[in-house]
Amino acid sequence: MMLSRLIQFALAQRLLILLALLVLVTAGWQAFQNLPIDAYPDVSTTQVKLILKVPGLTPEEVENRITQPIETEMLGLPRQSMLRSVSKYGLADITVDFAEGTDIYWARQQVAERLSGILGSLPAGTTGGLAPITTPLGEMFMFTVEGGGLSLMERRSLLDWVIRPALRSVPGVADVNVLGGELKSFEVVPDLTRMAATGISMDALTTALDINNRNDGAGRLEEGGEVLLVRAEGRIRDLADLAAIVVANREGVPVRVGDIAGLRIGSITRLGAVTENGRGETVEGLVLGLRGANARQVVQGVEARLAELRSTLPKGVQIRAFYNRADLVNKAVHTVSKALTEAVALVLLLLLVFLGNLRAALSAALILPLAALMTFLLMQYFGLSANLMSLGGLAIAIGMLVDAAVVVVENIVQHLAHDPYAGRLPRLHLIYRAVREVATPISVGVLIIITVFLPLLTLQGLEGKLFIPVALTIIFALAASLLLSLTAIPVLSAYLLKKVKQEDPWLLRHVDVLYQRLLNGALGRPAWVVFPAMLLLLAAVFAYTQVGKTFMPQMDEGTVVIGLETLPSISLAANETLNLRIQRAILAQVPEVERIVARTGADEIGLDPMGLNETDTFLVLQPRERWRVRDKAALIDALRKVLEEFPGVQFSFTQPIEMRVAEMLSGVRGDVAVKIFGPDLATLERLSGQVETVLQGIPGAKDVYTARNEGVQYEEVVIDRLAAGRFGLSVDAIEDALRAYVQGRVAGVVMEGVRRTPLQVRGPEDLRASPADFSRLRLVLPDGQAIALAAVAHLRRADGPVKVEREMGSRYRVVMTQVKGRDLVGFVDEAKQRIAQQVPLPTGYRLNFGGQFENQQRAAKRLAVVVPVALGIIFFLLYLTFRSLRQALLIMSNIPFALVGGIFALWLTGEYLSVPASVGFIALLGIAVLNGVVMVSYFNQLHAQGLVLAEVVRQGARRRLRPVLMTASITAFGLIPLLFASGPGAEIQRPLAIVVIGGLLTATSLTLLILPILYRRFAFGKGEKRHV
Amino acid sequence: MSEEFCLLTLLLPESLGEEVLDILLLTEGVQQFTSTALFAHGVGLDRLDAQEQVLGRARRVQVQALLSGAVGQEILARLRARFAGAGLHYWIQALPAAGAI
Repeated sequence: MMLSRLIQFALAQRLLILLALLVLVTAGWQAFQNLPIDAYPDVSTTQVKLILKVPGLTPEEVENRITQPIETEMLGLPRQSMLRSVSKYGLADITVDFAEGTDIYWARQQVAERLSGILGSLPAGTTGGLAPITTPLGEMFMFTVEGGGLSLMERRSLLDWVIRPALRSVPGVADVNVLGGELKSFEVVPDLTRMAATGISMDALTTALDINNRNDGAGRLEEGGEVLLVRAEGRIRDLADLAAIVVANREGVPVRVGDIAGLRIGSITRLGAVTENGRGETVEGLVLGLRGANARQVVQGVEARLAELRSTLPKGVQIRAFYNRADLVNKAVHTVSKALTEAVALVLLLLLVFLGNLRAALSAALILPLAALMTFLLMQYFGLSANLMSLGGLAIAIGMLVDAAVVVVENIVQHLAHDPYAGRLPRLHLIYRAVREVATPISVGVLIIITVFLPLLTLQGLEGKLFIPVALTIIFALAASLLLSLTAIPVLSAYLLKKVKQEDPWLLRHVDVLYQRLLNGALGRPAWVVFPAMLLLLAAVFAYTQVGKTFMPQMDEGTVVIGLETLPSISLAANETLNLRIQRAILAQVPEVERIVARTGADEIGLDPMGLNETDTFLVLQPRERWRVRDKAALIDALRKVLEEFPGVQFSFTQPIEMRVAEMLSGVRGDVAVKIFGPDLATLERLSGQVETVLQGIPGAKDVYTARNEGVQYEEVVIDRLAAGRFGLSVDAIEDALRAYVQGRVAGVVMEGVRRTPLQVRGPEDLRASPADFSRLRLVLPDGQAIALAAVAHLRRADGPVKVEREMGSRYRVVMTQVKGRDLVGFVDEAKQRIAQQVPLPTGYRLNFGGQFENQQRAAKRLAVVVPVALGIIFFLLYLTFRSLRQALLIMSNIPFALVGGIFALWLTGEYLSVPASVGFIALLGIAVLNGVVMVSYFNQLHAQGLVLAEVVRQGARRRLRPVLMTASITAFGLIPLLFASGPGAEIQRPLAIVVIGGLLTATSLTLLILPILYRRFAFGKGEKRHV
Repeated sequence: MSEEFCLLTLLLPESLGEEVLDILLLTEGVQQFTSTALFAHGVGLDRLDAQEQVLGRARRVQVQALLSGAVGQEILARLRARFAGAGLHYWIQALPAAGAI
């Protein structure tokens, strides 16, 4: 009744509707222009990262003195879901994950409050705190600073003090991370002999530096009617200023800093380096996008700001980008929009073939742009961004979008062509009748399809973040298409459809003849149809067991990142040399690689604190057209071959976003991650080695990897308390002195214009270059005298851990592997079994499987609950519509036959059953039910008119042949472009398209043949069969 | 006693309702009359407005008036003069009896 009113209103107020459409088109276009665009939906959880730096502290000390106290404080934060930490050399990285939907600013507030309570008890010199508000997807733009004949130090300084501040103020930029180069510092290198001679202690020296480096104001002076401001100048400006600072007076002779220490421009201890193209070092800037920022706008803003900056940079200096998120975004959007246009063209063509009338085809096809625009409007309203997933949802929905409009237009055409009233009724009334006739079935049908997508909205975690936008877009699009089909489409048809030919188009006439023959055969010998169908069903159950299962097809981001790892004890310089050699080899042997930028070690902020032995190598690839090899897999094989020539280098392949997402999700990269929890580092190391061996033996394991945690060489200084005490040295004093000599101790800042250059006290270079010199190091006593380190401590060599990783307060080690050519779940099952057999776990140790497969299991569990609920809702809707349990069941019986085709299609194409494929099955479910509804509702109509059942099914099926064929083939054709699409995102949509197309084939043929048989047999109970 | 009564039935487009009713009110010999909104079928398609085209029937006001004597023709003449071409339909029936109780 409400539907009739709506249709009446629309047809009567045609101008108003046209006007509303105009508004819709404008607003929708506006929304489309303003939608934030990114490649992927924001998959990050609410995550707060704490990064604390204490230069020089060893991993276990960092764990004891920083990580543990903070963890204890952070455990039990409200809404906390995970607490992870990594303690490394000089750095603690603590990650607090919050429950989904927690406000990031609230979460940061909680963490900051607890942190402030404990900051005071951390070791002196601890710096850092909360990391920028960015996400793992935040790395939007990466560039190097080159040219101009500038030294590394000058380039770094340019990046730090000119480029970084400029970019930080671009809207949407959270921070600019800086990697590589040398950080300039003023170095004071105490000459121990002279200090001893003048009796000056280290403390006295640092105090002198500290209190002799300030400008200040003193107030106002009056001079006649004028005022003078008093400024005291005492700041250190250069090395000469520094040298002139007096530390003490010895017998009337001032002892200046220059007298007791060497002064020079040096660099702060480097945490990492960036190498390029096998040629040498460079400096890298990395723009981090704010959480929720519009990637394309951020990159545009950054590029515009860089263009402004260009003129102010020293001559010849170039900023060369090597990663630009906008490229990926554009490619992804291009993939989807190409599929969309192709689908629209195909749909139009099909409509033309089926309706035999251009105007009719047009009126149905107009639903596409209109529904799309309305979808954009809804997306904007609900704050969805346009990305691969949401636009993909739209591409998937295209076929289904047209369905409602097709049914409406087809029925209008039918009514106008066969007007039995011979002009006695107005055309508008005929249209109204035609629309009213199908209004209920299409509304129920669309509602059902919407219902089947509802379960997706309950997905959690990564799969939820990825597929909720898909489901929402589809739901929006379908709802829009239903509304438009009942209002705009009748109005447009009224304007567009003038005279309609009496005759059906050629194709349809032939199909009709064929169908009649088949249907008669089927109705005559139902067993001949039903039994093969049952067999097919059984075969599908078998095929299902043969189809591999995985979480998510890998998305191709178009950039390759190689993670390299060497011996943990390697020095930065040695690793750089090695990296440069690898880069030269890659450039020489793999011509597809255009440029290589590799970052070794940690970044300035500490967001990704890799060790000096770890390198992320970014490959900038040539455009596809110029590739020698067929595809990316072949390219990676070529790269693997090059890398295998370097013994002792472990490597893994990943992509920029994939790498960060995997790290964020379980703190590790890799398809499968086996975590071993337990208290003792050495035992963990041994167990992880065993697990690694087991995993390597399992078929399908590729790039099995466990970060080597042993092998860092320690020079342990064991302090002799008695000896130290005798010299009046405390343990603290010795440790502080050692840190100052080796690592250096910051004693202030030298202001050079806006550039703040650290001033540090540090031992001489040769001290750090040789352990032998280190052992001869002399400690300055409080009275200025010096003694050898060996007098108060003895030195020994030891091996130690690279890092200490913890999860929820417990130490763990992780072994990761990629899985190729095999489904994840099967692999994990086998791995679990083998590890249980071959790796006995001591008391207090436990295993945990994580990685991508974790998500799959969670998704499967969730869907196992929600899909049946959705089926129940569908059943209820059907019952409400038909008021008959039998008929509702009858329609539901279509579903298995739809799934059959989907499973076979997966099996034949060798695709895996992944989350997108499951989405395909869900869509299939809806389409199958829709077909049944269209069919059965017409059967009922005929039955109510008093036809005998045998005639009901024969006539009804014939009359409904066209709409059923049309909706099915249009949905299938709408997906065909996705089958052949290439480019980022295509690999996610392909399995879905395969499933739906395969399922449509079986579902449609079976709807057309089996449903009439079943209806004849089961639609009415014995007492109900009035007209047999 | 044998006064003659007729029943005049008019089908009017809704827009004319009031004016026609006024005319009837002011005509002598019209005793009582009723008006009802209803649908008319078979009305020429060109006379239907958008809403009516959609519904496939015309909205009309039906007026039934009890007339005494020969006012019928007089009213029709007036209506013809006033609403020529407006799509009014009418019929007149002779009534065996009418009155008030």
